[in-house]
Amino acid sequence: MTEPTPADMNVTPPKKSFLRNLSFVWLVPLLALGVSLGIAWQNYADRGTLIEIAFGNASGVVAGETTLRYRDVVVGTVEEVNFTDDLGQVLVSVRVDNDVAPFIDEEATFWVVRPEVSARGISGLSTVLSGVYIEGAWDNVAGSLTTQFEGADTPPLNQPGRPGRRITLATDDGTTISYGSPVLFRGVEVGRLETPRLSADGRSVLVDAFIDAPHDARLTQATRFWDTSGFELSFGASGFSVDFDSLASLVTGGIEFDNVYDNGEPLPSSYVFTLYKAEEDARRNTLVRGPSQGVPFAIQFAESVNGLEAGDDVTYQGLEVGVVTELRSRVVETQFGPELSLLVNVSIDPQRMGLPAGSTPEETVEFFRFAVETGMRARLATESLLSSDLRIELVVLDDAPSARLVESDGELPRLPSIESNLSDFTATAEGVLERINALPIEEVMQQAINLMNAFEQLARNEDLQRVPGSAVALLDDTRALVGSEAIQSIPAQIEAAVNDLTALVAEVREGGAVDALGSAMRNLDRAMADVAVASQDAPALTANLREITETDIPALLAELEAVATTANELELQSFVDSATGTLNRVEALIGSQDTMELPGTLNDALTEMRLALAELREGGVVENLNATLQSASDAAGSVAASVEDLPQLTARLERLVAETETVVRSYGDRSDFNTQTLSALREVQNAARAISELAREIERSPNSLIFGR
Amino acid sequence: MSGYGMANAERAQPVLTAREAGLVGCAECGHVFPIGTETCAVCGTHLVSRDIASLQRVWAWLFAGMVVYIPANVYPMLRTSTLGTTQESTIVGGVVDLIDHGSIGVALIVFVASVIIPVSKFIAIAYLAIRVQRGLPGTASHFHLYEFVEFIGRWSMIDVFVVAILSALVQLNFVATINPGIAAVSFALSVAFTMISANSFDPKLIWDVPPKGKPV
Repeated sequence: MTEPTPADMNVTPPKKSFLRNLSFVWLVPLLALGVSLGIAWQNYADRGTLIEIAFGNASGVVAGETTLRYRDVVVGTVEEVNFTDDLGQVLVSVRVDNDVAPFIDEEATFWVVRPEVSARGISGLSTVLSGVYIEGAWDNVAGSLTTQFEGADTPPLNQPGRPGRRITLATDDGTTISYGSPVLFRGVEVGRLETPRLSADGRSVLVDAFIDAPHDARLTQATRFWDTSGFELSFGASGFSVDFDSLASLVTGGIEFDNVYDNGEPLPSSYVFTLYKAEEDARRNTLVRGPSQGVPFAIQFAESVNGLEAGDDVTYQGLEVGVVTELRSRVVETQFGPELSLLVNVSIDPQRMGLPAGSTPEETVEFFRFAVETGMRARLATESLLSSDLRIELVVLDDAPSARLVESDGELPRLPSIESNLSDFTATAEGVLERINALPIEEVMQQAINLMNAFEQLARNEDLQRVPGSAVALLDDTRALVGSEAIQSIPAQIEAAVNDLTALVAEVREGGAVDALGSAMRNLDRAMADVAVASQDAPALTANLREITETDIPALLAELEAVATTANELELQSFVDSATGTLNRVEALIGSQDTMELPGTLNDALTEMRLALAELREGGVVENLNATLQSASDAAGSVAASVEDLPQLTARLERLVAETETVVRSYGDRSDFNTQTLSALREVQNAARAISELAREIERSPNSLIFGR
Repeated sequence: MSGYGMANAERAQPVLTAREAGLVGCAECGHVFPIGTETCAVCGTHLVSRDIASLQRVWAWLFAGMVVYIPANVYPMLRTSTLGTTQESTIVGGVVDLIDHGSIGVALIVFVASVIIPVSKFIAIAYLAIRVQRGLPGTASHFHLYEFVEFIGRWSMIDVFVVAILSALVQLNFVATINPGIAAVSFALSVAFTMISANSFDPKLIWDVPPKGKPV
């Protein structure tokens, strides 16, 4: 066993070169470092841009939780909620995603979305569960990054990036407009109002409106805006009417616009529209108002300008060419000492006066200088007959006293005025009204009523109603007469009479009876004559009646028609007179004793006729005849002839009855008489309507009464 | 053959290392061969008397572990979404939260496992590596330190396991969702790198004394 000797220490010392010994394992920490740095850098790069938004209050905004959304997509998170240095506002720091950060430029707006209930609906309901969030709006054009923003309390109406146009409206009174009120075009909502604000001088209320595309293309200088807020209650001939546009505009107010003429000039960059009270005002005022468009003039009036106010029209030949801008008084030195005179400032639109577009004020003044020399004057005129509103009228008078445009430094060029014929005209108008008042309209109406009453009375007359009864009785009598035994027995008796006659002839031949027969015949003739006379009276009566109905009543109607015609022809006074006369006469006719007695007379005639017939039947004419026939065989032919007369009489009676019937029927319903009564009433109605038309015509254009056109 | 080892053990003062005895020991089966032998005849392991590249690997993995340990602490470990609100918590933030909620025990475990152990490991490995580089002779306590570091390293993974289990279990959509953050991956890598670093360390270097008092 030998002690094991250690092998030679063949230990190679470590190589000195560090680089040559460098192990690949060093790639691991390098890689780890690289990855870590990469993650760190990526995290840093991805963490977004910090922006600060100042809000009045940050109710519900929580750091680390509240999100920033754009079109309802989360694009950032609130990192910090601080105060501004003066504690005046809440400063919300929001980390915004890098991909949207470039778009957040100066135009971006931010507001906090909270649940809201308003007249226009409920919004932001989702925030009840998830908590509030900050909504941002910006256009889709990348701009320079801005990091300080002022948050809005309410969502902006014109969200950046939304196509449309923002305009400014000016009005005197901001009570009817409010934030969010709709802007309507023909009743369709095309925009929204923003919060009204006072102008710098406090004289007017300015409100911005945003009109969505493509409706903003309709806006020109011809566009007029008016207020459609609330409802309009009007009372007229058609009763009450209530108008309002929409419930939202009823609650929050709304405005509507339209172009008052076509091809309006494009809008200049900072154009302020006027918001009119009503559509009527807006449409009437096609003039471009405002100091920049009109050329100012002054007019001095010696008379009262009561009824004239700023905003009233200046017209030339009825065309609106300007507007009254100011009324003031000033002291004028005259030879009798200082005197107060009234000065009216007006603004004249040169384009409305026919001057070319783009005329300078100097050119306009030059035009008026010339116009005044050729007789143009200003004078006051009334807006209408029934109102005391005044306007200023520019007139060209040939015989005007010479005057010129007064121009002095520091003052507006002054147009000469002439005295108006205002007071005369008022007097004339009063006269017209007095004459209208004096018209006996009520009297005419009263007489018309009387006429109706008389007609009614006539129809109700008992005698007239009895006429049919009498006629029936007459017919009955006639039938009884024809059917009476005596008449029926006439042929038999004639036969007997012939036989007797034969015997009688023999007797007669013996003499003496012929004279008695002759006197009997004379009696018979007389009786027949009586009957004839009675029969003749009835036709005459009928004729009278027909004459009345056919002549007098149509004449009356013709007269009524004439009345209507005359009324239409505006012979007012004479119409009233002639109407009165006619009605008087109609009334007299209806009320006259003759007319009233007419049915009575007719009745009497019929009664007489009946009596005559009864007499004919009962009174021994026939018996006498029989007796006579028995004793007069020679007179057979003449007796036969007289008997032949009986059917003729009957026929006449029938005719009479028929005529009577016609008369009676003419009183009955649906008859000519009735129709004519109706048409007469209709004519009266027409006449009344003509009167009311006339009255309306007078009300509308009283001038026509005076000037006859 | 084992006689060399026994002889070495008997001659305890001063320690004769295998290297000084001209031998090389197998790290797997403990068999010694004459120095210069390339492969262990017993188990086939590549035989190296002293792994001269060992310290480089130690340092490299240590650095890698330290590098990824930074994001592991800076970035969130857990992303908790409850009813629409998302909350992110880092390791230390989580510990603070746990203390706030009164779970001091759990907080302590998390803190020890996630902070104290990894940091101690960095310091311990670095300390041992520096000692070796400076040629300072190591003692038994240094060796025990190395063994402790190697043993305790895996327990740092407890945090990663917690995150993994929570993320797998709590997926209740809107009501509650837990997702791992970047830190979870970083931390897992950090633990792994440190373990590799510790394993790369050739403990034999601890008791080597360079002949000229120079670092190996």
